[in-house]
Formats: sequence, C-alpha cells, structure tokens
Amino acid sequence: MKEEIVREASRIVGWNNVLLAPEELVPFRYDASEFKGELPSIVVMPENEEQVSELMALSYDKEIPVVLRGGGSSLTGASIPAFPNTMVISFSNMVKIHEVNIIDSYVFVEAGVRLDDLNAYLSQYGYMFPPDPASSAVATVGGCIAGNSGGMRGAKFGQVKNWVLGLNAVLPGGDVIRIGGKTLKIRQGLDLVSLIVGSEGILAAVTSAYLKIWPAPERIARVLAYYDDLSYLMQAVTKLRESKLVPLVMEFLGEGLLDAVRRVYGDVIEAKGRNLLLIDIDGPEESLRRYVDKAIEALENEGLILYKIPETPEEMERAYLARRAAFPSSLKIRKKPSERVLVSDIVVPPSKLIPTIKEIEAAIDRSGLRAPIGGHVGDGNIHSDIFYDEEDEDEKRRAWKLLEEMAEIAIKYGGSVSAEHGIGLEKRELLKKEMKSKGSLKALEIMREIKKIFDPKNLLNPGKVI
Amino acid sequence: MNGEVLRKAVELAGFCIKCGFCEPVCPTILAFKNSPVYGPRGRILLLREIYRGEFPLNERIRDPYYSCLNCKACYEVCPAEVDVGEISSEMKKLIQLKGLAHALSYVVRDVFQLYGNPLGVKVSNNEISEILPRRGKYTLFTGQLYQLMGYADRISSILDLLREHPSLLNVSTRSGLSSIFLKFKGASHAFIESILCISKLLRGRDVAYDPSADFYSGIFLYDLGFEEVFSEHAKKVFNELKERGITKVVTIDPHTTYALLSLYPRYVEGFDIDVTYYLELLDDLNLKVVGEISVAYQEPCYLVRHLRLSDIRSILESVKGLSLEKVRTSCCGGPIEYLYPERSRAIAKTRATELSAGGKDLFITACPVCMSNFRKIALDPLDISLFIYRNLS
Repeated sequence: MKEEIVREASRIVGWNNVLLAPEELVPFRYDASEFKGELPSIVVMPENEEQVSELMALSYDKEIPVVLRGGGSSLTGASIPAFPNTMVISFSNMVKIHEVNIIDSYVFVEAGVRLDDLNAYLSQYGYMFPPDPASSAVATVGGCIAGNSGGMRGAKFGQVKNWVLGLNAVLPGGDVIRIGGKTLKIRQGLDLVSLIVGSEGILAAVTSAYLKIWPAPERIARVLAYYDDLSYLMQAVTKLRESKLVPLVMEFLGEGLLDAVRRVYGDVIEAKGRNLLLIDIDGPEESLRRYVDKAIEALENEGLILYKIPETPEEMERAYLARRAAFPSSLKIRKKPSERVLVSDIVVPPSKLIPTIKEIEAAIDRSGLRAPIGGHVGDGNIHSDIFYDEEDEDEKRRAWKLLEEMAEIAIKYGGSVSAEHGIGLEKRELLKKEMKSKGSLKALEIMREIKKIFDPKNLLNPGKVI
Repeated sequence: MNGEVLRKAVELAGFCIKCGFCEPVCPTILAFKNSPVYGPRGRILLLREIYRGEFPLNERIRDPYYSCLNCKACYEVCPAEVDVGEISSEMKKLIQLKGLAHALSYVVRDVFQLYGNPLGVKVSNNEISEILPRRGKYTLFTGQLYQLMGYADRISSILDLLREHPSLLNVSTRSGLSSIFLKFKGASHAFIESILCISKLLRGRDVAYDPSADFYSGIFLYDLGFEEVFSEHAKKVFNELKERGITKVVTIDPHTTYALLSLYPRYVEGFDIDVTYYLELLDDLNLKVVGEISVAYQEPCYLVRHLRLSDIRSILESVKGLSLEKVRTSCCGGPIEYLYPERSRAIAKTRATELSAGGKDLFITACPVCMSNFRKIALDPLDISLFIYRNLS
C-alpha cells in the first residue's frame, strides 16, 4: 500500500489506532469460517462516525477495497478480505452504549458493542435485545446487523431484522445516511434499513443503530423431552406449533450431539433417549404451570421415552448444560487436531422438518462422515457440524459435498440454503442455485444493481454474497 | 529441537476452531490497542502461519507470545479447551532458543544464575525463624516471591532507564547491569509484613522453617522461556530439600505453588515432595469484622484457574458484615510487568475499575504479583493474610 494512503489513514484515526506490523495483520485474514483471506495492507480502528466517513472517502478516492470487521465470528468468510491491498476497518473502538430508553423501547448503540455486553447492560433495566446467536459473547451489533443473525430465541422473536429501528451508516465515498429512526413504526419510502440488515457489509458501514428492546422474561420453565425416534420428536414439534404455544426456545439435539454430551459430561442428562427436545417457556408465574401442561400434552406421543421438568435454579442450569455443552462436547471428541468442522445452516418450513431430517440423515450416512445434527427447530432451522480431516483431501471434498446436499434438501422443501449464518464466500453458488430453483435469478441481478448504486466502484467487501 | 517445540505448540493449538470466544475475556488485547494478535485466537493464527512457513521466524513474533499472561481466562471459555498459556510458553521456549528473546530477559537469566534469584538481592528471612520452629511436620517454603516483589517499586526506575537507553542492554554490559540490580536494599514493608503474618498464622500448626531450605522457585525463568535453566534449578531445589529430609512443604503464594505443584513434577524425575498451599491448612478460620465493610477481592488466576486451590472468595463471603460483589476472575497484568510495564499497568487499571477497587472499604488480594502491580497504579491492596490475622475472632 502506498505510503501516502497509510499516512492519510493514520492521520484520520491517529497512529495509535492503526495496525501495520505484519504479525498484527495476520488475524484479520481469518474468521470463524474455514476460509483464509488475503493479508490486509492496513487495519484501522476508528473511534467515531466522522472517522469512518473519512476512511470511506479515502478508500473511494484511492480505490482501496474495504472490509468491515466486528467480532470476526462469521462462519461463512464474510469478514475477511477476498482481495489483496485491502483496508480493514475494525469497530473495536466503537463500543459506546449511548442511550437506553425504556418508554420508547430502544437502545442506541455503536457498532462495536458485543451482544453479551449489550444484554448485560440491558439486564440492569430488566430488558434484553432478543436475538441470541451462539456467538453472542464475541459477536458485535454491527456484525449481527450485517449478518441478520438469529439464534435460539428465533422462533419467538425472529432475527435481527425484526429488532432494528434505525441505522446510521456510511456509504462508499463517505456520505452518511440516517435511515429508519427511533420510533416503533415508520414509513420512509423504500425500506433501506431492511436492505442493509443482512447485507454482509457489501452496501454500507453501519456505525450505530437504534435497536428495539424487550422486557426480559418474567419466569422461565424448562422441559426436556427424550425420543429414540426422530420422527416422533418432530411430530411433537409440529403439535407444539399447532397448540398455539410459542416457546422462548425450542432446541433439538440429535443423537450425535447427545452422545457427545454423555461422553464428555457423563450424567448431566438422562441416560435414556437418543434425541432431545429442550423447551423453554416464558410467562408470568401464574400462567406458567398451564403453559407447561399444554406443552407436555403436545410432547406426549408413543415415541416419548421420558420428560423432565427441572425445578430449582441449579436443576434448570444443569439441564441447560445439555444444550450449551453440545457443540463443545462434539469438538472435544474429535480424534485428531486436524479434524475441522463445517457448520451447515439450513431452514425449512417447520411443517417440512420430518422429511427434511430424514433426507439429511440419509445424506450423512452416504457421506460416511461424522455430522451430528441439531438446531432451532422452533423456526425450522437445522444445523449440522460436519467434521472432516483437513489433511484428507477426499474427506474434505465429501464434507463440502454434504454441505451442498443439505442445502439442496432445504431448497427442495421450500426452505433456504442459509437461515442465519449468511452467504459470505461459502454459499455464493448455493444462493444462485436457490434463486434459480425459484425461477428468480432476476432477483440476483437486482441485488447486483443495488450493490452498484451503493458502491459503484465495488470497493466494499468485494467478492462476497452476490 | 526448534522443530519439536514448534510442533508441540501446533499440536496444543490443534483443536482451535477460531470461534473467537477467547477474545473478549483476554486482558492483553485491550492493553495492546485492540490488536488481536495479542489475544489467544491471534496467537494461534500466527503460530499456524509460522508452522506452515508463511510467516518468518523472526523477532516480530516475540511480543505476541511474551505478552501472554498465562492467566487461563481464554481456556475457561474455549469450547475446544485449548490452553493458549501453554502454547505461549512453548513459543517462548522457541523464541529463546532462537536467541530472539528480549535483551532484558537475558539479564534476568544472568542475574539469576549468579545470585539464585532474578533480582540478585539478598533475601533475609531471620524474622520468620523467630516465629516458626526449626522442626515440624511441614516446612515453610516461601519461594522468596513476596520478598522479591517488595523490591519491585525500586526496580521499575531502573527498567525505565533501560527502556530509554536500550544500548545498556548490550551483551557486553550485562554483568555491569547485574551489579546495579544488586544495589537494591530494603524491601517494601507491606510484603515483609505479609510474610510475617503468614508465619504467625501457621504458628502452632506443626509448620517449621529452615532459612537454608528456602529457595526461589525459578518461576520467572520458566515464564521467560528459559526451560533448561528452570529445569536445572528445579532439580537443585529438589535435591536440597531431600538432603535436609524435607518431605512436606507449605507454600505461600500462587506462583511458587504453581511451580512446585505443576511444573516441578514435569521437570524433576521422582519429585515426591508433598506441596500444600498455606490457606489449605487454615480450614478452621472464624473471622469477624466490626460493623459493615465493602470489599473488592482480586482473585489470583494461578490460584483459582491453574491450581483450583483454596476458595478465598468463600472465606470472605462467610464473614458477617462483609459485602463482596461477584466479579469474574481476571488477571492484574502483573506477569508481564517486567517486559511491558505500560501495558501491564493498563491491565491493572482496567481490572481495578472492574472491581471498583478504589471505591470499596478494603481491597484484598492473595498474590504478591497482584499486590505489586496494583501498587504501581496507586492502589494499596491488603494481603489476605493480614486481613485474616487482623480479623481472627
């Protein structure tokens, strides 16, 4: 990178907020995905919106590609440079929570605030920001907006797009736009907020956001139901949905995950039952018992092995360990350090879960790989952790093929190749496949045209999504 | 040898999936201007590039690993249970073997080899001998860390001078520097008082003291990557203890305890000395405070994360009238004070804010390294031994 660009970027953010040393640049070519990006030429860490604006103007003027970086927890390569000579803008210095307004139900935050920090802050007020991706400890507000993240509470509260009221964002060239607002309803012509949410950093750099907040659950009841046959578990999910009960969390852990938990944590969960459905129901104290009874009615079918309702906080926490420990346990039983994991993320209408799961299981069997499944079944979102040995080319190929097959199954049942992890570098081809299957390649053309309007020089996170 | 060390480090990092959960809890990232290579995930990513030959093995790799506090905060949140402290220790060995370590660390090694401790000061333990008997079931092994940290304030000024004039660190002047170190006299009273209090608490509990059997553990040499020097010293200490017929020792600080419990068995064949941290012997405490007091407690990482020993938090929580907020364990920054003083103080400041240390009636810690580091940012923590001694009912 030319010295004058480095000098100018450093003038904008201050030398203390610039990373140039080769060792300091290395982490920015990776995120939580299996991709390795190009080494950026410079990393800058602005402290405010004006600095982001000046940096975007500099990038535009000198035609330097820019990649925006939050927590670096993308599973699809969305936050790493696809091209050399890139400037990474990291939001690690923009971590202010400007304002919480309970009457108007919003929090106004900078893009670099991590979700867990935000929720710890909101808990003082008895409130929460409901989307809860598994990476909430590291994921930032900006990254979750870019990724339109979901999480376990998705079935009840949806994704991030349902919780963004307004955005402040900088466009390539440096213009600042303020879209949406701090009100719970708004009509501003075409909905640019929704366009930017989920755009994976290819349209604009979000600097701060007005996020809708929600009262934290008053009380939570937890039910764990075990089934040997997955079809019966999915039947219970269908019945639960028919019952008009909307659980806060409805998580499914398949045989592979349960087996891993049992191997690593021994007796934290029941010894019987190959698959687990974990349900959290929230509500006021006086209604909770009735909700739980209703849930159990839906859960009971001839495939139900047993169910448990933990009572004390300690029992509740212990029961939750089954869910929380599922992925770590699955990682811990790897046989070799070179075993890597590809995380599949598909979604189908919940009514199609039974045939979807059957086909996924068949695909996993065909692949010969360990690929335990689980997911947020309340909203039809299935994840599979596909393990493969990176030193074994054939296994690697089979892993990617399995990822693709799962996406195809989702398309077949009217779902999508990505529920909440996004497209990034990983699913560009699969997105094309999905749009083609819907006879809607035109939509991709429109997306590309929109990208041109926002970013005529194709400088913002080039090579991603479309 | 280099290849072996590197391979071991890569194997230790093998199960990392780059999720980044470790980054928010790592104290060094923030102190090193939010640069992730100074955090656990970054250290692993750099290591993998070095291993694949994509990043050169030169002095640029030194600071990311020498800055690691080995506080295990990352290990605690890692879904794959990767221990970046261990990885950094391996990398420090490699860096030292390649001659790429900080010049200051070679001074420490030279001073240590000449005088038996990294500061070259003569530690006097006569007062302990006046409190504890010469013979007993257990033998007190102070490891001299409290005593040495008492000189830390004075050492800082010399280190500042060296940083301003790095030419002083040339190999030819190292022995000269060693003699400057030797001029330090008079440890800070707070540290001496702690040792005396600990000795008094151990009086009547079958704990003896033999000044000739009290050595520096060598822990700082291990932290600086001088594995062989540490290993030789550990063997020497073991032999000295065995020669005196000592089979059970009582340690008083987290770092020495870690060295004896976790490292010595790794480096000394047949190490069979029974090691007990002193608070484990004081299981019958009945403490009382006058009125109501609010306390901030800095929990030593080595005690709770590495060793899982002595639940001091519970001891404090059981005292009537004492209020203690639950704040997650985090390092004070002390372990890197010698090489990165500014960063180390930045970590201490962040930690003090997290603990609201300045706003409480009492600020307690149980580690001389924490004590020393907080004193550098104008706080004056009370050692747990003094708190216990003063409030025994």
